[in-house]
Amino acid sequence: MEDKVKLKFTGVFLLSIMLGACGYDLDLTGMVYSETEVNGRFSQSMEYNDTHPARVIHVGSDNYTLAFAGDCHVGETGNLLELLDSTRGPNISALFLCGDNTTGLQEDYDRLKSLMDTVSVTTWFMTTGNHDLYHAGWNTYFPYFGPSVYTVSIEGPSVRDLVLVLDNCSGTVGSQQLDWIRSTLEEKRNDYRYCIVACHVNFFRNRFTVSTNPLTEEIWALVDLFALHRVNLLVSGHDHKRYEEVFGATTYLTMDAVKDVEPQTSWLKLRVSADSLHYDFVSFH
Amino acid sequence: MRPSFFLIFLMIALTSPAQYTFEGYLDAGHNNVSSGMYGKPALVSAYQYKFITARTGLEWTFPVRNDRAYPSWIISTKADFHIRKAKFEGGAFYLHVPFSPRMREHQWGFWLGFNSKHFTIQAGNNTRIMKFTARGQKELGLNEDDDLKITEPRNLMYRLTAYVKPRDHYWNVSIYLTDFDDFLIQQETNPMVGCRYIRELKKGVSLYGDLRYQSAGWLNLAVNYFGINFRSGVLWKIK
Repeated sequence: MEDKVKLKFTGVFLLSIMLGACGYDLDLTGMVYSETEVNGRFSQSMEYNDTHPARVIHVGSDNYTLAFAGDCHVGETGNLLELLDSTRGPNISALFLCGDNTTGLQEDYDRLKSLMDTVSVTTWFMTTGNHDLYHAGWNTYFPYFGPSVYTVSIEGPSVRDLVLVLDNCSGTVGSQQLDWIRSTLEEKRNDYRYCIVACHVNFFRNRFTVSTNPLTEEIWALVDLFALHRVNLLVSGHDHKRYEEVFGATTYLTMDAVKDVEPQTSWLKLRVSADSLHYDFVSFH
Repeated sequence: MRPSFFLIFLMIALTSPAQYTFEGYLDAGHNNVSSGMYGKPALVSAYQYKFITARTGLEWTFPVRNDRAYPSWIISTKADFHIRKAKFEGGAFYLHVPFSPRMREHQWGFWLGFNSKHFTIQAGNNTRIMKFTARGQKELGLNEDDDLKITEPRNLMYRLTAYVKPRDHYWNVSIYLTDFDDFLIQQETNPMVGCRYIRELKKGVSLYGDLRYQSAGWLNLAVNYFGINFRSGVLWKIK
């Protein structure tokens, strides 16, 4: 009898901790069921891309600067407003938001959409994070912000660079997107000077963390593909803690979060020049 | 070069006065990166002397990864021990996976296990090192000044297994949750669930089948299918 009471108490205690840790923002149904599969999001993205103009940015010089940021988790907007202000103007050619842009809640999507529509920002691009999918968030993301998989061509006077924006927020790129990555790199890579990949889920881990990475077989496939096609830089978020890893010609960066409450927050300023890709983490005030 | 270790080990095992075990199995499955179905035959051999066991094995992958058919290779050792009446085991291993002609994965690790009548629990840590091969360096124009390896020092390995019958019963059904297998170690956040049926056909010879499901993004709360796998195998224990 006493054991049963202990068991029940332990169960309730663990459940309380779990729910307390999760809070309102999390959608625990995602442990057993997802409203959308990555292959489905990829198909929708490709249909969209086929019926819309290709994404091209023209820059005045072959040397230019890009901004990357991740894990804004709107509702909160303090650091995001500072980011939008810092990246406004001619010095930053484009801003890439690498997922977990919102909590997935409708009101937070509305808040982000309103901000991106009304605040005068530089050209921006985004992809999904796992939090963006909570509460059936893709059903709002797609009509508001469009596809989660696409390419951006950045064209200067004499060179052009390629950015691949990927959807790996379910912990996998899925079979169809993997085929697309492979064919895109095979067909296009040699036409570009630099190749940069932007996605949400980081590839490597240097510590114990509950933050998920792509599975081992998928890392084998992608790391090999990126090395073979000389991908210069992969920028990701998700782990909320910056981490830099260089493997051959490819640098794998995990960014800090933009989310206000994190102890260390920053965004990434990437200076692109003929010699190199040079990056700095810019802290929020 | 690596298969020769395996042959030497087999010779030692066959000529030593103790128990040795042969295991052969075939994995058939599909996952997001396999481009259709895959097959992975494996041969594993173990030699036990008193409370110490040494184990080694090879696994091939079909269709062949890229253009190289080198097998994955593992060597491990474990010791069984008791604390009061409880049964424990502890072990260490090295795993070599030539996943690309340009790269290799090296895994080192250790684990501890607890065995009861109907349950086993194993937990440990592994370190993953990915390295470019000499061929990869040459093909990609890399030199010694470049960063030629990545190390992930810490990863929690675990396997929780529950058995319907007592563990040494002549037939059994078990379910398990794990992030590692003989030739593959996932990150701690990517568990696989599986179910095994095993039956002893005659003294020392057993047949088994496993059905396993691998999800992605489970702990991201954005779970998706990653892969499914069926394993059929034979286990032969000789004293």
